[in-house]
Amino acid sequence: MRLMRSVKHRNFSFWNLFSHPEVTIALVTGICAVAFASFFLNFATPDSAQVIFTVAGTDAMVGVGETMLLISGELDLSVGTVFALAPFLMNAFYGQGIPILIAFLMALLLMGVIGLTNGYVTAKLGVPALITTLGMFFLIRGLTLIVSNFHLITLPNIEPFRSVVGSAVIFDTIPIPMVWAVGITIVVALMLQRTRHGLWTVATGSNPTGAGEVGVNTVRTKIYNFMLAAILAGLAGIIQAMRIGSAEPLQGGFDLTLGSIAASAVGGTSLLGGSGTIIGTLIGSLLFGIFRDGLIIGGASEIVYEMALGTAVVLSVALNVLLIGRRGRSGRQT
Amino acid sequence: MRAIPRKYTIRDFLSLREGAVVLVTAVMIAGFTSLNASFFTLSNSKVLADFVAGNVAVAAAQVMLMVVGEIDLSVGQVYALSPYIMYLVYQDGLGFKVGIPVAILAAALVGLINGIVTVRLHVPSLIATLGMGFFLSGFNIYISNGWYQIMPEKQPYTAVFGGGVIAGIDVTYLWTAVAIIVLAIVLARMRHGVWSIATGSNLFGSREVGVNIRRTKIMNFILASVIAGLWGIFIANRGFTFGASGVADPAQGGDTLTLESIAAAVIGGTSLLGGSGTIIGAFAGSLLIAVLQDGLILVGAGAYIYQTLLGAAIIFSMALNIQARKWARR
Repeated sequence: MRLMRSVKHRNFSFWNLFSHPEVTIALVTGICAVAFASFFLNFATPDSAQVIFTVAGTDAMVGVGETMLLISGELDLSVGTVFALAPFLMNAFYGQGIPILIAFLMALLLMGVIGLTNGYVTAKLGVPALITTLGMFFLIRGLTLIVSNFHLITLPNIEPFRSVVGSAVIFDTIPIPMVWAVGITIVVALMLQRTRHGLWTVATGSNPTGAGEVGVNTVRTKIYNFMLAAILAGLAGIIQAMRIGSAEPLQGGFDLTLGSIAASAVGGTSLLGGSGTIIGTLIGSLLFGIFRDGLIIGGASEIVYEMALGTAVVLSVALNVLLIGRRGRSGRQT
Repeated sequence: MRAIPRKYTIRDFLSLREGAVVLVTAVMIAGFTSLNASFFTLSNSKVLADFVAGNVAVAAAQVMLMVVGEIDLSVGQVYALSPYIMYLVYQDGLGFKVGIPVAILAAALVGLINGIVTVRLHVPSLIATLGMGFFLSGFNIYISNGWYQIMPEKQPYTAVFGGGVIAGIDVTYLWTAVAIIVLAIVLARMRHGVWSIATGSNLFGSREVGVNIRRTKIMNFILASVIAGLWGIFIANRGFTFGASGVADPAQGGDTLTLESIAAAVIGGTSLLGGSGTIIGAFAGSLLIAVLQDGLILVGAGAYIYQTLLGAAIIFSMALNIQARKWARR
């Protein structure tokens, strides 16, 4: 894909810029931020930025995992409940006298097992991902309810673990979840662009049969991405729970799942597989955070936010399809 | 379309898309009955029927969409929108006579928008209807302020639309039976069904031979929304059937209904890839979910385990279904 781009840059025009989906979404995000800042004085303040970064940080982590899966041509609906389960497992291990860091890693390991199951059933047994992960969504939600007995828990307040994993704020502006999100975005973006796994992911998503013919292990590639998505969702769940200091069995849920798909799609990832951008997903999550924060500061309610979000998702994806279509790299189906 | 085999075997049964799910449901009914005899009673069958009647028509409409290769994640929100719009019009003094058609038109409009955004703007339906779902869940709370409303007045129209009882049977059951039969006939025998299957299995090929793929898809989006809206109205009016009032609840349906309608459709054997689907399967899938939910409560397993087992049932039955059909066709 990178090769294709450098070839096409020979006749550079204004529209070429917009063929990078990240550029469109970054522009929209920038305009939104400037607009909110000029309308509402409270918007461009450290407090407000902290709110935006906190929300966007956890959403972006889940979104990045979802993006890798979407690029490999699959989808995970269960991330929202995996997000809720992870802190309960970590707390249960810690309650057994296991050191918190080991408990943390064990919880993430189990998230990996969930991802492995999703991947095995989908890629190996041939059940469509939407069904596998819909089933997993229900399964994990039930497990969370059983483990928690529908009770909220307070998480252990151990320093420095709690600060590093959730509650610290750098320069009074940047919450640690955002640092995690940016770090993960960079690592996964490099993985997508520079490693064999990244290349195989794009190949698997754009042409599974062809990729298989030339020796790409499409099954393993997909399974790895399912595991990545589940682990990142679990990590985000633990980070959110450690930041607040408590965990709730219904946190995340289907809204988080939909939000992660929406962030990927708005960021410029195709739902058809084979093309996508990790940085776009981070910017997409930031856009949602800015929208929510700006509308609430402006006196609108959460209700207006949901309506605006729905409209924005559809419009931005339509715009991306249109702009990509303009360059002849068609994403069109009908 | 297959040639009729000389002798029916278990392989033939399992090669049917609905085969595995019918088998699993039957085994589950037998199992729950042996654990608790009150499972197989008339009063419990009413519980099952209430669940299936609220859910299966939406699942069948979801099947029609999956057949053309699309999906609708906003049905749960339309399910709440329509009855509330009916209530608002009724509240303006126009009564249910105007309220019900307006509510159905609103649902149809949602479907039309979903269809146009998907087909004309080329936004994948997963994203188009996801956006619509977000929009409507905000909109539902916006028009209702988050409160449910009680509709005390019984009118002839409410009796037809879910509030009446004919010979001891809720009209919703009759509507549901009619919807299932009509949709099954449409999919198997009518031109729209053939066009839907053609559109889903080979988009460009079917356009070449003159199938209006855009209209077929948009029609199915409208169908899904209208059915979701209509059954939302039936459920809102259900209170009238046992002498209570109707309730327009903006929290009715929601993501749970959307997910269960998709689950029922796919458990029943409808492919997500388009070109293949079964309405009877959606019925069996919906019944399986109802049996699982109700049976677990009756045997005292606790409410939390239901979701776990539903999830496991979806994954196992689908893996089994795919493996069984591979085996049956070998």
